[in-house]
Amino acid sequence: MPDRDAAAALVDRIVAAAQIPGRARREALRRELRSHFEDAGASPESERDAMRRFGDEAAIADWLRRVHRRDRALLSLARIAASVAAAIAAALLIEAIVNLRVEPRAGMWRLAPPFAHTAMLSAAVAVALAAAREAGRRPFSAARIAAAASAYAIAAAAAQFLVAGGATAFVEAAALVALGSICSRLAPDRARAPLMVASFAAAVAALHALRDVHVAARGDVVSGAALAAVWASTLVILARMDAAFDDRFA
Amino acid sequence: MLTKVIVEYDREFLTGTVGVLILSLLAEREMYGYEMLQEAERRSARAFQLKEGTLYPALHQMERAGLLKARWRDSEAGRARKYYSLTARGRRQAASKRRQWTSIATAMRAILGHARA
Repeated sequence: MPDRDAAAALVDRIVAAAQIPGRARREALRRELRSHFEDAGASPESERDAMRRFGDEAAIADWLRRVHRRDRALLSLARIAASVAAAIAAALLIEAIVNLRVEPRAGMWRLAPPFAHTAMLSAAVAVALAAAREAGRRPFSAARIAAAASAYAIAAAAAQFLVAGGATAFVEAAALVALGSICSRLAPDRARAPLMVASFAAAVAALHALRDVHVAARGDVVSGAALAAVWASTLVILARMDAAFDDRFA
Repeated sequence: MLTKVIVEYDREFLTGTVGVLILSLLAEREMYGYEMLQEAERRSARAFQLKEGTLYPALHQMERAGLLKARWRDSEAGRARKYYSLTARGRRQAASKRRQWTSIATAMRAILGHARA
């Protein structure tokens, strides 16, 4: 049945190009359009005639895509919000583990004084990585890049409003993400982790020097390792969240 | 001799009329997509033939706008089809569009009648 196959292929192409979020809704559209061709008749002639009368598949898919645009935008927002929240939570957990200290005399646990700053920086790195990932999604879109940059600027302003020096952390995080991106592109797989730790440690040392804060070299290396861990955990979370949303909703 | 003339309508003109066509047909009873196309063709004595695929985005758009609701049910032929019907909002919209179109049609008939004379 070559014509029946041609009609089914036409329906499949329209459904794919319409980019409707949700497998169930895509299947419902497929079923509805297939039912249209079944109603048009079973003979090859009527099938061919129905395909001719159906119209321009690109225009139909484009119209369907516009109808469902708001749903796609909402789904993207939900995915980004969930990804960023999970990545920030992981970043804070990593910094809490790194900064956890035992008070031997009192027998108590406490967080080291730099925790507030390093936690803010790590959270900002997670947000910067998420923004960079959205901006770099293919196919490239100027609107998406502008939206990612604007959202990052708004997050920096909100951080500044909540915590003194919050915006500075976001500026530093942007520089660290740029540095990390260069390292991850340049280094071969096996050398990537040590290079990232070393680069981040050097960057943290430079930031300390700029602020005229004296920290032992070991401290800078630990901070660099923590930032590399935040980098890795954020990338894993973003990828997993993408896959989970694709599997569940897309 | 009866000559049938099928008018080639403007795309924009036709796009604007699809919504009215859907609302008018569904004001009478619930229908599925192909049934609407057949009915529109039958009532216009086959003069009104739109690109059939454009009906479905229009139906989805109107469903999302809350003018239509849809449900799958078995037809008399035994196959499941997606039937559309008007919501309360859709019924109000249908009545409003009908008034607008009646008014426009009356005015256009008068204008075109004068032009012919």
